[in-house]
Amino acid sequence: MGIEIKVRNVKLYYKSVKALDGVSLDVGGGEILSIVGPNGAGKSTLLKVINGILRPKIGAVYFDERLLYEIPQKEVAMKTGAVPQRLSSTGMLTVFDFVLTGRRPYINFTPTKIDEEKAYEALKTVNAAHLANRTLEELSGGELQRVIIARALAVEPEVMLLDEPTSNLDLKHQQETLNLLKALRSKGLTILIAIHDLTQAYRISDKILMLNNGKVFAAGKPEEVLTPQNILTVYGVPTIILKEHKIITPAESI
Amino acid sequence: MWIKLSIKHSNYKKRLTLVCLIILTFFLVPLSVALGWYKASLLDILRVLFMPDNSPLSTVVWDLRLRRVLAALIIGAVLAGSGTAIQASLRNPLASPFTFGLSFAASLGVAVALLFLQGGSIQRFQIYFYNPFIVSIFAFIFSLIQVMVILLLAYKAGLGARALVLSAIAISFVYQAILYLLQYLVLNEILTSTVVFWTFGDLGRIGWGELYLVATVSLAIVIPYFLYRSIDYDLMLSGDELTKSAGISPERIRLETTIIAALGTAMATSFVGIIGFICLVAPHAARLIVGGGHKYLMPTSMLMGSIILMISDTIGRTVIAPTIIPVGIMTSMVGAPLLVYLLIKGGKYGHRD
Amino acid sequence: MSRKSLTNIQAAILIAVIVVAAALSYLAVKSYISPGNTPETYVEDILGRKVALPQKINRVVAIGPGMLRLVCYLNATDLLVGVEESETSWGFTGRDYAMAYGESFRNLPIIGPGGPGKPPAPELILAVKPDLIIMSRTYADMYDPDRLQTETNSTIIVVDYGPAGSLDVEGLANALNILGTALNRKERAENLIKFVESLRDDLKARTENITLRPKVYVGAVSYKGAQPFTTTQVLFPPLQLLYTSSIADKYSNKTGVYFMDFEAILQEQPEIVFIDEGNLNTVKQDFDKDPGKYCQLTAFQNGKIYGTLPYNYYHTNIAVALADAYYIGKVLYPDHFGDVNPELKADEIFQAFLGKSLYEQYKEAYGGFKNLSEMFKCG
Repeated sequence: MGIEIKVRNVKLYYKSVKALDGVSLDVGGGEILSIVGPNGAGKSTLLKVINGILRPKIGAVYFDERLLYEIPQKEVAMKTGAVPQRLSSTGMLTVFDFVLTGRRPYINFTPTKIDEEKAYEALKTVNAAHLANRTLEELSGGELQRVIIARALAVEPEVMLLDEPTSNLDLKHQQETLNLLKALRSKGLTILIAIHDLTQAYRISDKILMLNNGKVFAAGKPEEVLTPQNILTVYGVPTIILKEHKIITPAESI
Repeated sequence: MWIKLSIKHSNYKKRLTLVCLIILTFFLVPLSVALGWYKASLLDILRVLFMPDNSPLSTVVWDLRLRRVLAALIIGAVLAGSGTAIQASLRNPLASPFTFGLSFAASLGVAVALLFLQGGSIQRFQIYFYNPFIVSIFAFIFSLIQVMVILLLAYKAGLGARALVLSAIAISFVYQAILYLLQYLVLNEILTSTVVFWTFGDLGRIGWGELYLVATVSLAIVIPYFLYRSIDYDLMLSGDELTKSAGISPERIRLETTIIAALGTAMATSFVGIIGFICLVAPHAARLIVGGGHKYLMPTSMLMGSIILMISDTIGRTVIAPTIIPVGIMTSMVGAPLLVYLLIKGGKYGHRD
Repeated sequence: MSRKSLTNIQAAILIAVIVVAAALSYLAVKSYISPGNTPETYVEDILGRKVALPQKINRVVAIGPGMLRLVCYLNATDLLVGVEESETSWGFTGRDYAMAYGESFRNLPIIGPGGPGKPPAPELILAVKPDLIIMSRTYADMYDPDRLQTETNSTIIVVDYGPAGSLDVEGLANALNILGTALNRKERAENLIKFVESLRDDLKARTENITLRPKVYVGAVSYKGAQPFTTTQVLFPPLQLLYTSSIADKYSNKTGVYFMDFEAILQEQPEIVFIDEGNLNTVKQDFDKDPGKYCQLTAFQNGKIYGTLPYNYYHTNIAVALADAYYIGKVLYPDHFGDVNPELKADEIFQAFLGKSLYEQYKEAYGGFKNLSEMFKCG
């Protein structure tokens, strides 16, 4: 379980702007890597590159030593679960049908009983099984987020790529999501998250990549990367790291 | 456990709806065939249906009624399916094959065909050189050219949903302008009126050979493709990125869908004229009944298209008999208020694009 | 730049604008109340306008459906100083007056586009300085005649001779009388009206009291473009002159075009069918594609299909409609029309209206009066 992902010196241009300027990273199975940085730093773009959706001008992505672009698309799709920030539209799709689309790489003509089982299991994992017959429009922000994660889980992926999975959630759901990610980590998945909340990133990550203007500003363990100096330089905001007086919830103290 | 059952129950309801619609369709076919100006008993009509002979009643039942009913069946399904597919691939509930300006292109084709053949005056001697299919062929070719140009233009912009819609609008305006220019400068009144009359969709216009052609293409290519792509249309709704991450190319889906929808619609339009609203009303109504999952939505939408078109045509030829209201006018009269009703009644499509 | 008063330049411009405006107003007013010719005769046109006719009328234009036809019928083409573009661009075939006088139209300046929906062009009309403009009522509905009168600095009479597709003898007489007065063709108008009335009375005498009437259907009637076999006309004028009804007459009491369901035609089984030769190709095509339904009609099986000349083109070709009436009479009631040769009669009518025998031209263009069973063979 889990794929070792290597990103080497990826450069990507978007309308003559350097969206990514020589980004590299390493992450393996059973690890959570958080990508942090200000808006426009390139977090979402990096996730898309790792997913294979965007191809860099220079540089490469490797999955277990294999060049990503040489792996058949279907195989990549079966291995990667993507959780975007938002959906383009919803079209009165039921939650169940939506989660079922995650099984697309495995479907030849129409979903089978197995596909339906897996979708259902995924919904149970995120505590959203009771929403199965609702339409996506009826869901709250938190419910929708969980459902999108369920869809990624239905893929039975070895890699999870999440783009700001907690930004729309209230405290309780944020914790639930983070706990879910920890559970997935212990199953051995390779997890990359683009995240805004530095405290959450600090708590949950094994590694952190700090991006600024498409370049890697800092990479390494959370305490190495998330220093007041780094944060001030990149975000322009003076911060203090409190190790003692932070707000922790019961669930976290495990 | 009961959650699983509720999913099963919901699917069961959708299946039931589908079956009911199929039964309704099969019931409507003989009903529509039984209705009409020519007086005959139900028994005679049935007899002639199963044992066609050379009597006037047989001609009425087969050539004048059954043929249009079958045409309504096929063309309604194709229009509704095309509408559903294009709406999914463009993530836009107001999209339809006619968004691509197919009606203008077809009308332009007719105008050009008439110009070349009539030469601006009504001459009798042209009768022996006139291929009866020329008008249809021109309408079809121009429709396809229109779609190709739109796709080419959108291709330059990456075949994104927005690019396609903008391209379609732009090209449609160009075709419309050319058509109006032709009408104003070149066509005389007779030709202009002929074009206008042609655009009123009329199911009575289609012959047996043309019906076979439409049916073959629809049943062999168009309808199976839309059904096959159902899961992909569900996927496309969420966005291009999720689609790509699932290993499917959204551009390819849009390209294929546009071409096949154009093929089916252009063919139907070239034979019977312009029939509007079905491609908007049927998918919307179906969505309200069976939801947005295309596994059930697509066949339901197609059946609704067939049913609506059949009913419109039958009403059109019976309500102020013995004169016929062309079905294109009927679908507008029936479709517009129906669409308004559906929009008011609800069903949020949900747009976050 | 000071804001309190105008600069020199601004003042100069203002003065220039005032001067120009004043000059234009003066010219406009002057032309409106220009003395011109001293009016003498008054005529009431079809809109009830009392029109003062100029004393000398040497320059005439006709705009709108049917107006040029009336001028030709009244033998007043020498007064024309301009013609609508459609008269030449459409070709002459199908309009009786154009077939007779078309060549002479080519030399005349263009005074407007022409056509049922196209508005008149005041500048072009003004350029030929007409004394009188004959305007169709359909044009007057689109464009105010009094306004056009001002714009063209001329006199306008609005005339019509019945609704499109109709043969309104009284309407025709009224129109001819008005124009006869205006164009100094009173005698000609009276003679023509007498001629038309004599034809009407002749047809009445021959057919009014016939008891055995066959079932008739008139198909593919000309109306706004190519029409299929199922398009007919309720109270078809030539049949009306023959005191005969068609099978469509019972479905509507308003005269006009009617789109019939083929089933209804099959139900009625007309004995004799007439096809407007203007749409012959459309019917032929449909027949070739779908002979089954046509051959269920007894009229087709018995070969009782006849062609009539199209008369609805830029308003009713009265001469053609009357000629059609005689042919149809001959077909329906041969005993009562034994002395009539429809082709000769047609030429007689053409001669009376336009001074030329046009039947041969019509025959060449459309086929002429004949039985069409060769084209529609069944079985």
